[in-house]
Amino acid sequence: MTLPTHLQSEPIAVATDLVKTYGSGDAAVRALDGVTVAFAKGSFTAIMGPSGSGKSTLMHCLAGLDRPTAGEVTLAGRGLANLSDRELTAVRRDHVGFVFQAFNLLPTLTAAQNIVLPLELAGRRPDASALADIVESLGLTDRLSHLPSQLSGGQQQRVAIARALITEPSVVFADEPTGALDSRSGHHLLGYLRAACRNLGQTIVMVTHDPNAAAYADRTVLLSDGRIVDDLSSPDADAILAAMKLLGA
Amino acid sequence: MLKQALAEVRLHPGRFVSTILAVAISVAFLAGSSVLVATEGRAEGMSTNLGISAADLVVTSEEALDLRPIVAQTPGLTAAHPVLQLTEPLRGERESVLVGLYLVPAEQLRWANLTAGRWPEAADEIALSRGGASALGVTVGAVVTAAGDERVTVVGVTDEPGSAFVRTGYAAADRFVRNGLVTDAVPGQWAVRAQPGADLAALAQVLGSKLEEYGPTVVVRPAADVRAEALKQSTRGVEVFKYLLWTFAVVALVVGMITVANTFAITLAQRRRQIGLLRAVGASGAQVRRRFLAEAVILGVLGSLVGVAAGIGLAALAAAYTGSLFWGLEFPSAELWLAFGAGVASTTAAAWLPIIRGTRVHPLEALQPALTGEEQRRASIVRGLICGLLLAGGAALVALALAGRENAFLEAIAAGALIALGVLFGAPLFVPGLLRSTGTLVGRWGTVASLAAKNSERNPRRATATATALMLAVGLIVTLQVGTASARETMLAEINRTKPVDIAVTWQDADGGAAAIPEAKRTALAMAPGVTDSLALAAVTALLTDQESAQEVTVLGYDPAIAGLTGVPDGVGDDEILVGANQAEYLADVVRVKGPKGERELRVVASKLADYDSALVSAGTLAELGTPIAGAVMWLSVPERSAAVDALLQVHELAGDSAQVGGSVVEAAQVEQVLDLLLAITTALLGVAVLIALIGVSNTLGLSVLERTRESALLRALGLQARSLRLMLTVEAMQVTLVGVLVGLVSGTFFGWLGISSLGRTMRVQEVRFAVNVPQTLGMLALAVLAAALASVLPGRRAAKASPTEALADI
Repeated sequence: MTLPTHLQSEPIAVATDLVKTYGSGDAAVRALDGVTVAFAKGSFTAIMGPSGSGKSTLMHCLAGLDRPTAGEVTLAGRGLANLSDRELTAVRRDHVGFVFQAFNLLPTLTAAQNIVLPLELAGRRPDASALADIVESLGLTDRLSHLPSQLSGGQQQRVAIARALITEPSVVFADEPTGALDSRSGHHLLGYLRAACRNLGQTIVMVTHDPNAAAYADRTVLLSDGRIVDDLSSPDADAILAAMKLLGA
Repeated sequence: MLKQALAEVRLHPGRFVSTILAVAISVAFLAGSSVLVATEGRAEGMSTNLGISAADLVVTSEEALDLRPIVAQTPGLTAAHPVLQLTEPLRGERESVLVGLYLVPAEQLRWANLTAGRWPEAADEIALSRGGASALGVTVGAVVTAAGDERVTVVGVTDEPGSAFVRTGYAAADRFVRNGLVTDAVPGQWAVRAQPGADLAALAQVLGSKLEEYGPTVVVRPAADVRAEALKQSTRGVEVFKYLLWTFAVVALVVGMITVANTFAITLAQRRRQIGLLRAVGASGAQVRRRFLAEAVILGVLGSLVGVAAGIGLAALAAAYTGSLFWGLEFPSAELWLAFGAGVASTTAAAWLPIIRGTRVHPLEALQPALTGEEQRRASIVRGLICGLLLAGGAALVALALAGRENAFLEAIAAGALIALGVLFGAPLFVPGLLRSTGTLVGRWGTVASLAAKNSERNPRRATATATALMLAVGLIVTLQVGTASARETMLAEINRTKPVDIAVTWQDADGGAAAIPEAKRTALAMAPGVTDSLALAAVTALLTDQESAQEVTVLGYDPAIAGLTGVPDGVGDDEILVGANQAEYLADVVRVKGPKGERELRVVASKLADYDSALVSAGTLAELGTPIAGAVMWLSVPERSAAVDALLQVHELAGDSAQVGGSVVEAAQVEQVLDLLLAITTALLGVAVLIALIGVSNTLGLSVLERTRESALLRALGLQARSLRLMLTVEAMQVTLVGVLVGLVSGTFFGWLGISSLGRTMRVQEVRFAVNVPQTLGMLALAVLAAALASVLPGRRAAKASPTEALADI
């Protein structure tokens, strides 16, 4: 399959013919059924689809959290297929950022400690000015010494974004980042993500089921039953909704 | 509801394994000690009543009589045999053993069977029991040496083992006769056999009337009664061991209860959703509590069943080792039921409070996402007050014990109990602080370690309960260790103070009288390793009498070199006799000393130079009492304690059977042996409690890992290596263990010191020494911390094995 024409620069993450099956025999479930997709550097992509479409599975395989049954994943030019568990862990630590829907932070660490955790695990020291920039751009300066239990949902998610950005990863993967937030906090959060993409050139891949959230992205990839069924460029919420209605038919 | 509880246990066996294990271990301890002691007591009783074990009737008489013709004339009785026993020291390949030789019984009255050889017939033939044969290291056909270098042939071996204390064998009538004993008409016990199925009571009456002519001292009784009585007596004798073992078992049970309580607290916290669901669906609080109580009871029953079975098995193994199994296992059913009941009761009691607390869940909690079970650290004022009172009471008693004399030891025990209770009860007040301090130390070792340190602090109540169990077990062990080490130093100091002679070798002839040490031996003794100085003294065997007592002693002649050898400058005048301090107390002021040549009246003077079986007179006086045997006694000086053991071994080898070896080194060696054995046994017994506490550590960790699945997955997703995750858990386990062990160490050292100084004061010991066997104590601590690391291996593997996606997917 050829790359879509709107990809101007070198893709930073590529999935080729990804297949992921769970179970065996009659009970086998094909979560991914031959998915090929590429993400350009500096792009903000939303992966959408109904439940059971395989979008979370796709993200897990791209991020090195899970191994596909067949197919290849390349991240920043490095193939993930033949890496050992140790190497894969190191890739996640140094080249990937994560924002989950909830339970993003370690409850025993303060916000500041949570943010620099990936660096500490790698034994690296955070660059003070870079840290200060990220913290300020996310509006967390006066929350740094608080424990997660003392932060609101939106603040917790922002701390998670800060943590994802601090290592300057190849890709930030966000799995339903606004799922547990009210709509106002959700919009703020998406705004931060988009700003990170625009100002820092950060590649972001976001899995979501909310068309309004997907509208913040440059591109929306639609999945259904483990296959890519549509690929929209800079759509608005209506266009996405329309595309999704077609899936139901 | 019972069905539900059973289903729960069956579905999630892993969750309950540690509880069952903790209960099973303590119950096994209780049941096992019960069965073992009862079996040993029975074996003891059977062994000492071997003579009548095959009899139907027993006749005891103080008059000499020969039952055999009488029994021959009584219908219904088939045989009679006197129970005669000779106790002789026999020496085989390796060692000298005291053997009780029975007169070979008539065939019907034999209680053992030959496994090899035949029964002895001549005076110089014997048969040995299996236990006796193995103690001497001989088999059929071997020759052993009896007293006076008599050579005796072992012609047969029987199958009974003898108990741990009694070795048995058999000798023919001729041997008894040769030793001056009559074997046909004797007083004492006679074993009588009746025809099978005869009426024993009637026969006893018949026989009794026939023996009336011998006087009132003749008693005829059924053998079963006599045996039962003897058995009861011997069992009573070993009962003290049972109570001692049970004390340790109770300690293990208490530690087990702490572990069980902690486990229930954690599992209930994790099942909050389940509980909330039950309440939302309509179960009342009481119904929910009853359901969990049923689980606790089931666990208690299961654990106790396993424990009783395991205890019986262990006791059987131990009995097989000592040979008591030959007589069969004794099952004291009342005590076994007690052990079972204790297991069930303690589990239920331990689970009760956590259940009450843990089931206070609002129905809405079922619908909310599960929290990680954190709790606020609230210092309880009530707890602080009670703790303060206990500690204040304890401190007051300590002051009393330190100042007092008579009851110092009892006061010390009471003080120890109060302070221990105060420390254990007040643990939630200071353990979190200790965790934080150790956390800052641990946290300096890297990111993983600091994560671990923070994890330890987040659940203070849980960590405290885990550490408390360790505190109790380790504290007791350290108390015993410090107490024993101090006791050893104190006793050794006391011995050195009261006995200036390091090793004293008294040579004896065949009759036990004084004899000269052969020249070659004398030189060899003087050159034994560690011996720096020696002195040969002349001696005479004499009889020491006053109005009340007569005692045979070895009387030594004073030699001026004694002062230099022993450092004791006491001299002795011509009209004096030096005796040991204890003897001086009960002897009169003047005693008569009668030697082979003459006798003298001498004034009694107490001196450290004399002992309970030796006395000192001037050289002139000695010559008057008898012909002094020069060089009959040798005193050796071994100033270096470390060389003492080697010196003693060499001296024993040189001395052989011909000499008696005494002196402070000998006593010190005995003291050390006893104390070492005592410490080893008590440490092993308390080790059981430590084991349970460590199971608690593994348990707490395992359960908290379950709670933190999502966090572990997050860490793995963020890039924490699997190995680092396991390391984190290991550090957590070791940190909690370290805190518990340190508190146990400090309190144990204090209690050990308190106990010894009070005991010394109660027993009026001059100088009480305080000592800590550092390698022993530190070794045990290191072992505990290492074991904790081991305990974290299984939970760690479980945590690291979980794939990040599985845990993260569950939102």
